[in-house]
Amino acid sequence: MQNDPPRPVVEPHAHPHPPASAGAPAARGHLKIYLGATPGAGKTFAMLREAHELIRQGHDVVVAYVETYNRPRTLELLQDLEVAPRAVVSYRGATLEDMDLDWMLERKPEIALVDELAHTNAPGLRHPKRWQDVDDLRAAGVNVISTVNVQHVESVKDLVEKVTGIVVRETVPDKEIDSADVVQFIDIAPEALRKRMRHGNIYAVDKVDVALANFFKPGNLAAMRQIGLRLVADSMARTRSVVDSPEDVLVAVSCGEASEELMRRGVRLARRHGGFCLVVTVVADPSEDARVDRYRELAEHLGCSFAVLAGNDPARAIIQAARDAGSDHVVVGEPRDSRWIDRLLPNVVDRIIDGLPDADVHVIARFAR
Amino acid sequence: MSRRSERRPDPAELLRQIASEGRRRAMLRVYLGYARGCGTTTAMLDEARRRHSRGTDVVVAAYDIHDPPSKALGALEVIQATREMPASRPLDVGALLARNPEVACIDDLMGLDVSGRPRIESVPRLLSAGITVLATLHLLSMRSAAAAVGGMHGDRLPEPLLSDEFFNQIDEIEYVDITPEDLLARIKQHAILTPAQLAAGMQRELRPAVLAILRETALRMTAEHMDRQLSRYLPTTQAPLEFRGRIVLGLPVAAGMEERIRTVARNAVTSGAKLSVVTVRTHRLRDEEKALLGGYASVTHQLGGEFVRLDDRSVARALVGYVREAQATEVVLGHRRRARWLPWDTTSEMIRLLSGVDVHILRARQPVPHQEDRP
Repeated sequence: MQNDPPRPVVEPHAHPHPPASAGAPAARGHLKIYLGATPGAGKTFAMLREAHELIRQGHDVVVAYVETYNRPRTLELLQDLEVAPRAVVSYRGATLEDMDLDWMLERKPEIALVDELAHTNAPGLRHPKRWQDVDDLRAAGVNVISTVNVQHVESVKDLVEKVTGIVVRETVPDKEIDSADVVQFIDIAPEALRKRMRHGNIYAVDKVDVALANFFKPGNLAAMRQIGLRLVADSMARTRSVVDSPEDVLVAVSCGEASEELMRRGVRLARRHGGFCLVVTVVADPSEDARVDRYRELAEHLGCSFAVLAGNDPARAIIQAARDAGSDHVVVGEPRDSRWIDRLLPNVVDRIIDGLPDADVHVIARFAR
Repeated sequence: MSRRSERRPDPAELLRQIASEGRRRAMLRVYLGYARGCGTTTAMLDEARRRHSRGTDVVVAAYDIHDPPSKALGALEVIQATREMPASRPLDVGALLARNPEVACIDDLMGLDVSGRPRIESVPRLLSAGITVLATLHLLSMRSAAAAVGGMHGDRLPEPLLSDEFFNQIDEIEYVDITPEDLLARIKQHAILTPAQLAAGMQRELRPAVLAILRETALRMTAEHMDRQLSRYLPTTQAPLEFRGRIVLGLPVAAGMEERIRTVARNAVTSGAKLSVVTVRTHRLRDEEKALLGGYASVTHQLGGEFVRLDDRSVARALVGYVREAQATEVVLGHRRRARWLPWDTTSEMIRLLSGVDVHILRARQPVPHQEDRP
């Protein structure tokens, strides 16, 4: 899987040029996300429709960037709206268009529509990712309405890849999605979406057959819809924490191959229980381990805390950390194959189970497929 | 409507019949919402308009709307339209069958028709007449959902209620989402409830925590409905999915395990997995032990799982064999009951043998109220 890790996010960061009406610092803008299971579910459409409603109510709304894919109903809705000019970037002979962040910060509307939060910006723009642009807009006090597809949510990326075989290249950190004030799911039944495609409402008619046979296979659509429905359902756990007490999760990783999946599993578990997720790794000498940085960054994207513990006895360090944090769940990887002689002594997992009788211990299979 | 037989037909039964007769061209699509004001009617009418614009013959057969009807209905044909356009119209099945459109919109499936029957009872007739039905449904019109939230809802359950069996027979469910905050704003803005209703509701079913549970339930029910359809799409040979796996709970022959079965069954439902509860008999069971297992078996069946009894001298060997055979994706075990780890520990052996399967060890203190230590 070629996933080039995005550059580290530095935030909150001082603006190179402050917004036009620099005066009292504005309150941070709200974020509303339309989350869809697949492209074509109707997120952009719902967003534009809301824009019309907001304008009718007297709000100041600007389309910062919307991908129309020349869908007739989308184009129709775009007609009466104020659309920002696009930033044009030449890159290796090609012309790329993106959201013009500077123009938007200058214009500083009350509400900005920014499609496709997961989008990767053209090289040379201020940020590599569009969600970072959105962060800037919100920091300047602009309320943002945006869209995301389920497959682009960092914590379910592996699930989508496993089920559909699609390689996901662009992701949005969960912390960005968790920071949204409103996440609204746009549902569509798989057969209804396929029907909509056959009518040419989503892609040009000549591309439809290929799309229907590949990405838009009924099985894929059904699986992504389920992942999406459950993602939003799980995220309600925090709201209903008045009823069920939240449970926190500790994930112990070795910063090896399996660590990414363990972390995603831990984040999903924590979300379902309305609790927080802490990732720990135990190294002999923290100063010389460069592998740690990559996982620290992933942890940040997934919205969990990350701690490097020093020590030569991983089991002991993990047990201590779980006790200190009061973790209700501990996620660990399956222990490696052991020689028979090793079986005479408890391994790391055995010791964790014995050492933490008050926590559920989840031993995750190494090759979960 | 005078030819109606005395015995009330079961809609789910009728739907199954129609499906088995293979006469079904028409289908039922339901827009599901978790409270009044979610926007299901708007979603249904949008779809009707979309189909109408493509030349499909669509009529609105029953509606109940808050916006001015002429605006909400737009150019759509309303059956037996009158000039003044009331804010609601009950279903008249006879008139609808006589009009015989390709698609009919029926708002609120559990609302009543002109003869005082729930509208849903007419749906099988419409479908077998070849009329596709677009409809809306409230989560709290479903028996299981209403029962589940009824307690905190603090309200008597509305009648009539829809059986889960009928829900499963619906061809397509589309869930219409709105966050609890937006819902409350909408209810106020569009005056969906009277001020008195709103004030009363804010103490009960419109509390944010209750709305959050309702929303979560609606999302999960839609996902579960999808689960049943997923089996149509995915070949059984495809790798097991996290959300469609089989969970095996290894249960010791000991007292006080009901709560554990319930907890695991709840998790299975949350993740859309099937549940097998497995016990291994390592010796001849005493009568009270047999009774215990009988009780666990019926609890398991009630919760939709299967209960399996195996005979083997080695618990680990038997469980591992079963897990492999059933292609389970996850195994749940209780905390080991020995005071001290020993090299022949069942848990360790299972983790070692079950490479490729997730093993969850439950905490020792919580689900088991008291446990007698048996070797």
